[in-house]
Amino acid sequence: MQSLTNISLKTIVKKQVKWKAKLNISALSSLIILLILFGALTSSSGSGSYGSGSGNLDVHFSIYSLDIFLIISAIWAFIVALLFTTKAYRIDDLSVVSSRTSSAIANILVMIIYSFIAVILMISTYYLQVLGVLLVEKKSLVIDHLFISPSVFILCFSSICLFGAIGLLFGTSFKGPVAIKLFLSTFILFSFIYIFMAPNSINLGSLMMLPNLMISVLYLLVATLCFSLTIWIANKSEVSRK
Amino acid sequence: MHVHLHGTTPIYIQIAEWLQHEIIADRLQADEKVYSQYQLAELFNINPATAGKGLTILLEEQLLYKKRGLGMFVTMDAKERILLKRRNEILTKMAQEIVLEAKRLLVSDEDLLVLIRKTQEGLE
Amino acid sequence: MNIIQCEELSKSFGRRHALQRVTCAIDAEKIIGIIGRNGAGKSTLLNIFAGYLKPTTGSCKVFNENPFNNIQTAANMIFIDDRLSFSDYLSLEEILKMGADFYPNWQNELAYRMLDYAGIDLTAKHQQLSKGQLATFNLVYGLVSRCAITILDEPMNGMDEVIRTDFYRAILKEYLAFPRTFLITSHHLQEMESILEEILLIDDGTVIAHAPVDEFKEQLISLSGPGDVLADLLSETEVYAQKIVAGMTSAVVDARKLFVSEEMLRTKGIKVSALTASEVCMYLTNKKGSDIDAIFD
Repeated sequence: MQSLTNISLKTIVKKQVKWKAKLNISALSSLIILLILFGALTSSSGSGSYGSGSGNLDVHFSIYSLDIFLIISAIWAFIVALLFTTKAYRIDDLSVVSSRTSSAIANILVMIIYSFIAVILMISTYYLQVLGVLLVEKKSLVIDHLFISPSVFILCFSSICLFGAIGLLFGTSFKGPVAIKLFLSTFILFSFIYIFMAPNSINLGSLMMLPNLMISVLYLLVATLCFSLTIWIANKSEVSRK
Repeated sequence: MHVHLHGTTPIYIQIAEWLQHEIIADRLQADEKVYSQYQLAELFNINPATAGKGLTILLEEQLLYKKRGLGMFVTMDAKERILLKRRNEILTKMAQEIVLEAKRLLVSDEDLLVLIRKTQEGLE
Repeated sequence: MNIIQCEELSKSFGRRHALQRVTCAIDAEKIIGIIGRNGAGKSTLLNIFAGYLKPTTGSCKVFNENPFNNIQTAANMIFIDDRLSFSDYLSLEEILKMGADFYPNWQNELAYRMLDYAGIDLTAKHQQLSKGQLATFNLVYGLVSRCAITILDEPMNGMDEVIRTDFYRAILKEYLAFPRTFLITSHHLQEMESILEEILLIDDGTVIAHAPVDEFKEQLISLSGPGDVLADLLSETEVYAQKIVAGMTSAVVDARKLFVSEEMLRTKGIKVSALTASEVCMYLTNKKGSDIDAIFD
């Protein structure tokens, strides 16, 4: 009898990551378009503005910050992750050597890579916007922080990663075993009820006061939890090719 | 020769008969190596296991012999034995048919023998 | 070790019982035809072999391991059907490159030659191909991957007759060059019968028969002759079909339960004829007593 091929999970995951990252580059280009679009839209008023006048003096502030770009990137990551778990992409995985585990891990690694690239793109767009404002609008700028500190970078990365992780988890759960779907629906239902019934018990204010790095660690921990759950659910899922 | 896929004779028997035909026609000589099951498979577009079955029939009738690691070869007296067998088989079958048909047509045994004698004389 | 071993394998989807206590084994590298009506359970069984579905009860072992979500099994198996799909951004040539990256026994040269023969443009995208070209490409993809277990689910669907003949031969030649287990399903048994070694017949979620092609065909025979003579014989064996045409009765019976020689039958005036593999499948899977004519009576 023929000798069988022995292949390690690591090798397959590496190959899948290579091909997936290459083939889905269009996701990144769509992010660039989104960022530039919003950058252009908010270039006159920034992510916040404030105006006040008294007598002959009118003062307008426009605040330019990373906020809007971060929000866009996070939502983008969520949607892309969700898309990765849709039928078309799942079925594509079956055309090469793969298992549900290897595909799930590959998706996770690709999301992490894309999140990293997204942060770079995000920051670049921010700088472009500031430059644009400087050159085109000829407003006077007060610069608070010129260089993005590493802790902010990590915070952005963690946020985007987190949204990507949640997206993957959601997508994977919807195709998972019935028990998972039931659990997820109940969980969401209860969360909504809780939020509306007792909003005061959730103290986001103190959360925001924490230093950047701590928040990042928290986000990354939750992301890791989501990733682990994603792999766990994927392991149990059957494939439907209809 | 094309294998008759939709005929009533199983393919492996057709292969066996084809090989016997080749032996009679001297295209396969005594002590010559015959086609392997893989070669037959490719030649007739059939599964090698089926071809192998045909070869096995001849092996069991000792029309072929195996040489370890080298393949199957035609036995010394294969040709003679095949001819003898065929003669017997074909004639026996024909005789059966003629007797049956005679019975169906309500011809008596004696009348049938007379008819055969007449035919033989006619051919001389 | 058997290549594939199923023990009391059952699979249900809610209330629908797709497979019921299937026990079968595939013991060596063979070309096996998996035959059955639509909905008989063929695809379900193959999906379990491929590790896409889990058994509800019972077990399935491929190379002595559970194939579900198993990367080792996946590395030695390929499942080709019309749902095979690739990223929209890949041309056929790039798909082949990807295949070469994943499958260690990949024969890229051979793929090029086969696709060139079939007149398929390698710069085209998978979605741009016609139904027949798609089937051809998918089949080539499956053949050149040279996986130890190659599952072809209705591989010739959409191909024209000439190219079908060519590719049945291609399957045979590849099997001769690199023996592996081929599991081929088709609704056109007569087309592929000659290259098969065994037939596995599935009906209503159970394996009705699994035997080498000749043995399979010899299970049933057709007898025709005068009704009264036939009646005696029919009482001794299992009858699968019976028809009376112009005074002559003909019946399809279980040959293994018939203990009369062919010569004896001939003397009694009964004609014996063999059935094709397709006919045997049809009679074995016919619901006893039901007949299309009955609807129109």
